[in-house]
Amino acid sequence: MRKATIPVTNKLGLHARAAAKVVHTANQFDSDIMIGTDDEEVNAKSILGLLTLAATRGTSVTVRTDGDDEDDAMEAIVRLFENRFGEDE
Amino acid sequence: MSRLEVTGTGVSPGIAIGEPVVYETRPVAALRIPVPPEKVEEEVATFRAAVEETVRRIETNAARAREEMGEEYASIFDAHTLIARDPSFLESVERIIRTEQVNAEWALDQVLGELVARFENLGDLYLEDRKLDVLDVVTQILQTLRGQDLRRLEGLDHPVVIVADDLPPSLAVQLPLEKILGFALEMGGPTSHTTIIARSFGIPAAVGVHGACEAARTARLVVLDGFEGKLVLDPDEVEVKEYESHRLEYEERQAHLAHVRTLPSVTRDGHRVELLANIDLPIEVNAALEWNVDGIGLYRSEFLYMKASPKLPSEEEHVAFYRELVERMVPRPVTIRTFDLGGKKLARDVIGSPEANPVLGLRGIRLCLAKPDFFVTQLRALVRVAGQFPAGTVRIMIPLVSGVEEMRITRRLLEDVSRELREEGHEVPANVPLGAMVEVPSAAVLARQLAREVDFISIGTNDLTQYTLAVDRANELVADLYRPSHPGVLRLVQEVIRAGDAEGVEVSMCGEAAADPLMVPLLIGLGLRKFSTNPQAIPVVRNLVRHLSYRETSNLARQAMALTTAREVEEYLLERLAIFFAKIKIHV
Repeated sequence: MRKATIPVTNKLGLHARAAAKVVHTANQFDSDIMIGTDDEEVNAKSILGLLTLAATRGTSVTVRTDGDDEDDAMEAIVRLFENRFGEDE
Repeated sequence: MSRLEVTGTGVSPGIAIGEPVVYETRPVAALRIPVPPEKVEEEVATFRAAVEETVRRIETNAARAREEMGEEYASIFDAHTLIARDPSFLESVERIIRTEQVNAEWALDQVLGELVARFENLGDLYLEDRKLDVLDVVTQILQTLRGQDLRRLEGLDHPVVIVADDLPPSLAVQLPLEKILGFALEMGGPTSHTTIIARSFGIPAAVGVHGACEAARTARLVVLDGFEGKLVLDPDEVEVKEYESHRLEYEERQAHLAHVRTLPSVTRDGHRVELLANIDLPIEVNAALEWNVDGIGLYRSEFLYMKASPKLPSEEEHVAFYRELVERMVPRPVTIRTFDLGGKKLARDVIGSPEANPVLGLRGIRLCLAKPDFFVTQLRALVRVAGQFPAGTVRIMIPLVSGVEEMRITRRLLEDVSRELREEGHEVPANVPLGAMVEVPSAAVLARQLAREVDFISIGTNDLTQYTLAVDRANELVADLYRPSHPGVLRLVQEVIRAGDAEGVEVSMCGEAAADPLMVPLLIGLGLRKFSTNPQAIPVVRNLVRHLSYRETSNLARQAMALTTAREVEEYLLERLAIFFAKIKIHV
């Protein structure tokens, strides 16, 4: 299992389109991928879970990947957050 | 269950007695309906099918958005697809269906409630949008589930009465009409599209029946009285029997009319009256032919627009559609009215922004001239089809003309289109008859001038009455003031008939007044010789015409035109015609 903590830096936080990108990325891997805040942890392959996660700008989320491709999965998810989901701000 | 009654306006005659099916478009609390254990998996499958259908609809919207607004905008639909197929969401709904053994709609509504509660606990402004996205998708699935219920009517072994708050025409045309005994609608008016569909299929209907849905939700049996506009819920046996005999009596009267099918429409003193049909849907041609009409006096081409929606129909679609229609009618003339969009009808897609006063806004020919591409496509198709049939078979009619300019511009467009088509090698007739619908008072006042610019005129009494009297008849507060028998309206009608006679231009009438037994004798007396009505009214009007004499009706018209109020006119006509109507068994 891999674990990392990353900040949410885009203006709108984990909104619908950003969450969709997370799901698409997560679905490319067999590993279980969980994303959590202090309060709760949700499945990164479920858009509804991600949307109900109160991840706004400035919060930090913890990503856990667990499975055969956990390293690649972690790298892809972290990159997505660092790129602000492809958004300008 | 105890008896209850709700009343609106009867818009399509007849009596329907049967089980109600309630259809509501507005958000409504879901009903919890137990599902027998052996049907639970079927219910789960129904839910999955609704999800997949919703996904298909979202994908169609996405494709359109991508084309019109760009990739970034379309990506929101990608999120919506993921929401609809979210594994934890599907699992929650299916678990409720299975463990509680309930209908999918109820299960979905429960899950929706939980989701909304979760969002409400979060309470950040940015999160509000996320809630709306989720709500949007779940509502679409709910609607699909309800919509499927209506489509499931096809599988019913007995017909039902539809009770709905609103029934959009796009949905009404998809219904298996042979399974429907009657319609009771909370919204809608006498000229709304669903009303027209009900009437043209001889299905009893009432509109403006407030509270119908709530009342019918628990009813086992309803009676719909399309004459009185009444919906009776759970009537007792005696009352059902009364309605049953009322229904039989009406059907007998209708059957009695069948004998006029092949008889000529000639008055007792030898004046020939042409009877034409108004139609909306291609299927209505059957009824028109059955009643042996002299042609189609008004084909409302909007159906084609609805069918092609959300796209605009292509020229080839127009051509194929008209050709099929005309082929069935030839050599009888077919008058096709160009798109009469705008007003309250179907305009949103075309205009975009809402108008403050759409009935006085960009509609009819105004909209056509403002969007010439869309109009030219239709004109090209009409000219092409006209070229494939004997001269004069296809006729083009322009809606909502307010003066001669619009007809001049249209004539010029028609000439340009004909020249273009000829250059492209199409068969183009020397002249395609072009007519104006007179429904704006200014056009009626200027009927002489207008008659010199057109090949024919058709009076649309519904809008003419509404515009002359400044009355919206769908507005209950003033609906009583809507009277085609108002002397102000009758004068305009008389003016148009006279102008046609003077200029040698044929005049017909395609409004509802043309099928009103009280108005027909008056109109014949005023000199009208062409009546275009819904196909079901043809035998009634023909029977009437055959019993009238022009000499008597012209006398009747002279007297009626001397009166000063709508009420005086109506009372006079009733008094003069009551015995006559009783004799020929006409119900006024």
